[in-house]
Amino acid sequence: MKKIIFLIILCCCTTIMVKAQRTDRFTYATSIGTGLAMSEPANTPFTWQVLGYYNISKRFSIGAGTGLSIYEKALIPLFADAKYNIVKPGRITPYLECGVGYSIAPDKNANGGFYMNPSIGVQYSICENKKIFFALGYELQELERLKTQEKPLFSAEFSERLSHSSVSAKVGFVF
Amino acid sequence: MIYLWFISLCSCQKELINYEKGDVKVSVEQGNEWLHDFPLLLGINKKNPPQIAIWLEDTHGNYLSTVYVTHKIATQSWQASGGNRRKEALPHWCYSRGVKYSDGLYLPTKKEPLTDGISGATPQGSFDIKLNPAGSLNQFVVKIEINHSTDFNEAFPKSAKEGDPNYSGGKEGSGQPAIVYAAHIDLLSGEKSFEAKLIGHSSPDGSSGNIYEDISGLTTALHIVKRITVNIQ
Repeated sequence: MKKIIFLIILCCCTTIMVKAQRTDRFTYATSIGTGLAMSEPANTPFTWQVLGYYNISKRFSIGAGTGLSIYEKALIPLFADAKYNIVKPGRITPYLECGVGYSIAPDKNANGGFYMNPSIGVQYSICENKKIFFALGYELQELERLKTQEKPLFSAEFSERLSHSSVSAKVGFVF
Repeated sequence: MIYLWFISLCSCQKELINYEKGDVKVSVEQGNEWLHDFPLLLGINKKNPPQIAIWLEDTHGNYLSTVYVTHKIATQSWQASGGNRRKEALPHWCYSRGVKYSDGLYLPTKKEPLTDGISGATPQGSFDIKLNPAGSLNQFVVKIEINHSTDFNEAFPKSAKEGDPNYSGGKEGSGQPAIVYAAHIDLLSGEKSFEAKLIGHSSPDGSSGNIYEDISGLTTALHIVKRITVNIQ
């Protein structure tokens, strides 16, 4: 059942993103990123994200994103996103952005959790409607995983709750 | 769409531990002092959960095996410890385990972290461990050692000097020493629930693995946990 619901949502997101490319009101972005772990146990994340934005004005846009986050386990984040250009869009445009959502863990021995990524970045226009960007921010990703130990005398299981805080860095492409 | 999204997310939360008949569930229930202010810098405090070790002994008091220990002591990943290896953190477990490292301490090191038990992030509240004993393990003792760093009180002050009986590692040290609980388990007795009893506190400065039954100097340390029970499913 949950797989069906998840597929429906993915289809809806894909439809929105395909439509997004057809109008000026919509833009589309993809990025890869990593981070500097600030919490213990530490884990350096690797992220790949795709986002669709609806441009409410020249400066403010809202959107939704998904992708893949690799921590101790692979996670699929689903998040809402808001982006504000600090100055009127030009060749170089600094901006503020915040994504908030929830990550799903496909692994049967893990659960995802709350996701948040406020950041500050700069985008550079390379040609009409095509930009590259770089962003620095803070990323919080909660995660639960099963840890096990097999010994001659016993086996043991413990459900470890992790709250990964990191300084995030992302580079990407807007079109 | 948003409704579907929430339904989907909620349904993706799985129960990671499933208990079956005969499994042993060690439940540590948090007390009022589970989280303790740890000074970071400029008067900023961080709410820290305690350091914990859970291990098994035979009925004669011989160490059998570590079940669970918190990540920081298992990997020596202390924050703001001022170089202190924190031998006073969980000394009864360290000495019971009996593994001596190159610096003469019984503490795992960064280079040689604990591998013979589960190590994990310290739980922010109550938690359970599942044990599935082998057929030959019918009578045993579950021991739990718990400690907060820098929980100084009148009996174990920050100002205590090295060599004093209440010295606990200096200003970055333990304060009140670790406390130790034990539950005697007999799987053949027919009993289904065993409560762990507080049996004393550990060496304040971590110089030995002794247990001290006099707990009159302890205050907040006695409320780190509310109850520890071992239930047979």
